[in-house]
Amino acid sequence: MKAPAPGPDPVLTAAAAGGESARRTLLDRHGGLVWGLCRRFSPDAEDDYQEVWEKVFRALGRFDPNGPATLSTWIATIAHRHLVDRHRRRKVRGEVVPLGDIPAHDGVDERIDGQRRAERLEAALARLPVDMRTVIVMHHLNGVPLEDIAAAEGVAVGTVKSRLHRGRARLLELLGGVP
Amino acid sequence: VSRYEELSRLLDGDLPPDEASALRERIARDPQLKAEWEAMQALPHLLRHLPEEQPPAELNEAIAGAASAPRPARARPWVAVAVSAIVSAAAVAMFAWSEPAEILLADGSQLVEGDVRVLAGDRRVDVDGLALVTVEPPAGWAGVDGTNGPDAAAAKLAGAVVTVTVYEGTATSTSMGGQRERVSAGQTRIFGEVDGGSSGSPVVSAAGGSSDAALHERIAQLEGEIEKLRFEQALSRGRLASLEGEPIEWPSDVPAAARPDEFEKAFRAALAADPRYEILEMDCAEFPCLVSFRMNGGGAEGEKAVQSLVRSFNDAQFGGQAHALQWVSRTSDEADSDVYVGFGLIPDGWHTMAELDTRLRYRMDSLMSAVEPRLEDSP
Repeated sequence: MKAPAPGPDPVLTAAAAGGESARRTLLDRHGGLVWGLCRRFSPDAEDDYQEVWEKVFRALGRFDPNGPATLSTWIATIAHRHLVDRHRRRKVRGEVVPLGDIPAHDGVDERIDGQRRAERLEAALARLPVDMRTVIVMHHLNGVPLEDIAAAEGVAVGTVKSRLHRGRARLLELLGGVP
Repeated sequence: VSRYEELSRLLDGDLPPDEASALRERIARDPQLKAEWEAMQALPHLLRHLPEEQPPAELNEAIAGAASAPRPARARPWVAVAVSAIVSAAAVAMFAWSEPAEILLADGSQLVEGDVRVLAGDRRVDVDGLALVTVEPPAGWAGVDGTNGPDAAAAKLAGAVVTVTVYEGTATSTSMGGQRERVSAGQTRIFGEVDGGSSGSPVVSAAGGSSDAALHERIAQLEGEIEKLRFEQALSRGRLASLEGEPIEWPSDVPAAARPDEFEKAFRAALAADPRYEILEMDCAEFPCLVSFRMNGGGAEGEKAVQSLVRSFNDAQFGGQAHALQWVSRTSDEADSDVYVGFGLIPDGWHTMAELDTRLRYRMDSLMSAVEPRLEDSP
């Protein structure tokens, strides 16, 4: 016998209606995800963070918990669309590639020293061109399917795949082959 | 396609079967390639488990607290300051480094700096510099709250006495009837019905005597505020300097290819091969040289051509060992859009200079800020 589809999540319902406590719950659960995207892609991370959440709260009533996307993927997609739109409006498609050194792999066992490894990875991510960085962050860090990224960017899935492969390759180059 | 890229395609099953099996055979034979394959396999897992940084707690508080109310942001600047300017008897504010602002001032004094329009009483004062604007409202003005807009406020404030003292630059006062009068640096001018007069009083020097002792006492107080605010401004500029970095002298032993004459000559020669390239600015005042250039009608393919150009130039001049600093932008997504590029090469060994990162970001931002209006103006 097929289990009935779960009913509406009371937190989402309350947050969509403007409930402060419910909104706080969503911010606690998913704030890190949105913040991660904003700080990696926006020169005005705090402004964009607030604007993304305004959009999320406005659109919450349309989220389908029985649909293909999890809530976190759905929120990440809204954040992504917002940041892409912002980026286009600025019409600045390039960026200054930071020169900050990526800490060298110094033989320390980074399987143990996770913090150091994370720092190296973040430094390398920051040096990726924005199109590659977008795909890597959205897909690997936030679990957004390549098809959804392509739709938000308005490009073919093949283009997104190509950016993913070039992005991974560039990351490994920057890390000297040792992630 | 690079070796790493091939490995990435293998990871996702995006290589044709024959290429995939050939690559797997090479991996089995080559320990170096095997290590790289293992690194590629580990990469998605490592990325997925990067620590998640949390937003500032007060930001979440503000968003949750705003509940369903829309965020009152990006209002016209004068709206934001109007309330405080109206209710304050002597509001003092500096508007340095801000976009042109419009301030509604119904009563009291406002010190303004920069390109600011003050709706002072029943007239408009356009300041370009540093000026003190004081409004003494007519009797019965208290009903003015600014919520009906500046015109309604001005109508209620007809007959106010407006004093403009200019310390730097100029100010232009425009009455409701459209009469314009200019006040220069070092001058004070009083407009309105003072001593039965109907318009601007004779010009008095900012330091000169006036029959209105109380007004001059207030001006003296506010001049003290100017000094204080200038001091704070100087502190802010100090903080700004930490963002700009210090100019970097040319190192004496930098490779010849990086030196201004050689760099400029070689770079101009590299661009000469394609008539679509046009150099906009070459900045070799300090180390290293930065250049901005445009590729007319290059489009997306142009971006690739630029990357190729940079690589070739690096190979030819620095044996491929220099570190590139690039800023690439297109006017639109159209195939024939112009491509704007900011570019610099830092010879290997010099790229680790401690102060270089901050300074280069600042210089590149400055160089490319000249380009941004062209991007904004494009269709």
